[in-house]
Amino acid sequence: MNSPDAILRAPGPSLLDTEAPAPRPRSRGFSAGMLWEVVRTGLVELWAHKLRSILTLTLLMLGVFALVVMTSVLDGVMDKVTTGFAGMSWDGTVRIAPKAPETAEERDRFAMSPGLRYEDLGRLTAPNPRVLAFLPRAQKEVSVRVTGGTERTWVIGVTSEYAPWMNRPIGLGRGLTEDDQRRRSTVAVVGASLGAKLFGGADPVGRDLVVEGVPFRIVGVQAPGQIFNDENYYDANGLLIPLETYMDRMDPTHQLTQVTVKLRRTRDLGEVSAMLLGRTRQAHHGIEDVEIVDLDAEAARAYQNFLQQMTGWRVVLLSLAGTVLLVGGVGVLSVMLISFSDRRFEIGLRKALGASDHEILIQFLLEAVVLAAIGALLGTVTGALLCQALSASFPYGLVVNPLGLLLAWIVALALALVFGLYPALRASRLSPMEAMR
Amino acid sequence: MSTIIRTQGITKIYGANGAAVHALRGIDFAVEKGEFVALIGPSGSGKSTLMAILGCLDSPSAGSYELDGHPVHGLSGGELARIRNGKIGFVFQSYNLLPKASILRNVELPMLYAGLGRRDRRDRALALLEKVGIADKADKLPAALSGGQKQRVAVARALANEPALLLADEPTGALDSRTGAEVLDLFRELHGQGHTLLLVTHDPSIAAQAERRVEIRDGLIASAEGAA
Repeated sequence: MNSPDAILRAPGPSLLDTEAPAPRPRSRGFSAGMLWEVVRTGLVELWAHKLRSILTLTLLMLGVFALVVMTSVLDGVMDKVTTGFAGMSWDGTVRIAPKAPETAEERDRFAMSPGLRYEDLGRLTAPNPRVLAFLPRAQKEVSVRVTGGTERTWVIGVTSEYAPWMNRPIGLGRGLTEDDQRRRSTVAVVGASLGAKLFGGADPVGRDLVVEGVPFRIVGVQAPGQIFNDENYYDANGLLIPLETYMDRMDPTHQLTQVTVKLRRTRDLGEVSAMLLGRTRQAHHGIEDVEIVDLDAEAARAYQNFLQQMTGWRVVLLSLAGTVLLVGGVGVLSVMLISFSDRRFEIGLRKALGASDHEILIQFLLEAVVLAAIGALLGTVTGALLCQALSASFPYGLVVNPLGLLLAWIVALALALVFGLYPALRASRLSPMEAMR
Repeated sequence: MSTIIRTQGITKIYGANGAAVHALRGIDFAVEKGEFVALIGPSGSGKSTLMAILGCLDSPSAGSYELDGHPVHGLSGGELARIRNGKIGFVFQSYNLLPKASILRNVELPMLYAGLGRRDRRDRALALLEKVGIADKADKLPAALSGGQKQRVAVARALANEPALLLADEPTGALDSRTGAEVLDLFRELHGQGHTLLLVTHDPSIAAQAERRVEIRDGLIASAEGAA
């Protein structure tokens, strides 16, 4: 039917038949061909007015970018902090530590006590059914000599149980053993940070170092971990040595910094605290110069605090991203309004050629959506790139949050529809006569 | 013979009350199938208003209009759009091509709104361009074409949906006399093939090319000559 001659022939009788109008292939809704035509026209228009397109796109892009990066980073921070809280191993844990005197009277009274010492451990750590482990710890600041220089650091005396209970895995070599304690071996496990500082990239295991004149052999290196409290920090930047070795060679006064106690059940806390205080009082001539800290509650409080701050940040950042997106939406409005007045003639012509109001409305709305979608796409890509770049500083990497991404797209497209509606309505209601005049 | 255009007592009043302008004062007018009619009149005579009403771009204040046997009065905007799309082929003085779309896409436009598939649109548009003698320009933008070529594109576009009526508004107004004559030749050729043409002009020498002339003056049919 498409030979040129056939085409130019006048329409057949079916078209002129007054009783039965010619069947027309026109489809009711919006065809795929129409969709492509509209998207294509939209892209051509965007390209024809690059500057104003870029200005609007930048805002939309920034909004989506901010939403994507922000939700992802907040997720990453949540991961990191949650890992950190778990890494502190403060669940079901209390700590007994020397109490600082608050008054002169207390100071005088505490002076009568020998303080929390290695010697207390025999009585203090007698097996108790409610306690899983007693983890004493003693610590002092020292300087360490290695071939090549000296370094200020901390030497920490612990038992072989300390590392497994406090979740300080060994990265290289071995951990401290009961045998080390019994033989008062001069062996050390270095923290990950200290190892890197002293030996660069080289394997520290088997190397020697001298602490306050005492030579030590490094037998292991701790695995790197998150640092969330002082203890984490000292462990990563210090030397773990057997408690007995510490008492013999580092501190003749045998002072303990603290004893960490792992409970079988958290609800035994009160009884175990009383038991611990009672045992120490006996050892300290009836003077109560130690205090019990409920680390479990402390951690829960800190975590709660952190969650509250995160919510605050979420609100702040969401509002910021939302504002940028809103401004982007206003940009869409103005671009589409300019487009509308620029293209009055085109609108009129399209209508003269058979476009319905409805089709013009959809065309303008879709153009606004195409504009927003391009902005959102750019924002997604740049946001994902930034997340990838930041990924290294998060424990589980930084994955683009799919919910944040979805939210960003929904907001961007919804804004495009809302702000595109007014120009689209104006375009659709334009009379072809007026538009083409 | 069937009637393509039949109007009775069409009036058009712009503005209201005191400031009202009576552009048309009661037009009774008919065009039969296969006719080539020139609507002639000076500017301000109301011929453009009549042309807009006949093209379903505007509606009369009063009177009745039947296009291809169907009353147009009281139709919705969407129905009017479908009539413009399927029954009428417009050729404008200033070509009115979309400047950012290729020649091919310009010709395809009415078929797009008619819901034709991509392949059908393309095939038919190419065939139409071949018939008006500019198939080689299909991929060009309108700016690359001369005025006469643009008007040929506009004619090809007007024919896209096999309209019952070709409405040409001063189609040679923007062309020099030689290319204008070529476009008129094309119209006569279309007439010879059985198309119904209504040409609106102020130029008597162009109107003379038509089979029949209807003169409009001050919103009324002033005279009609030629075969009726």
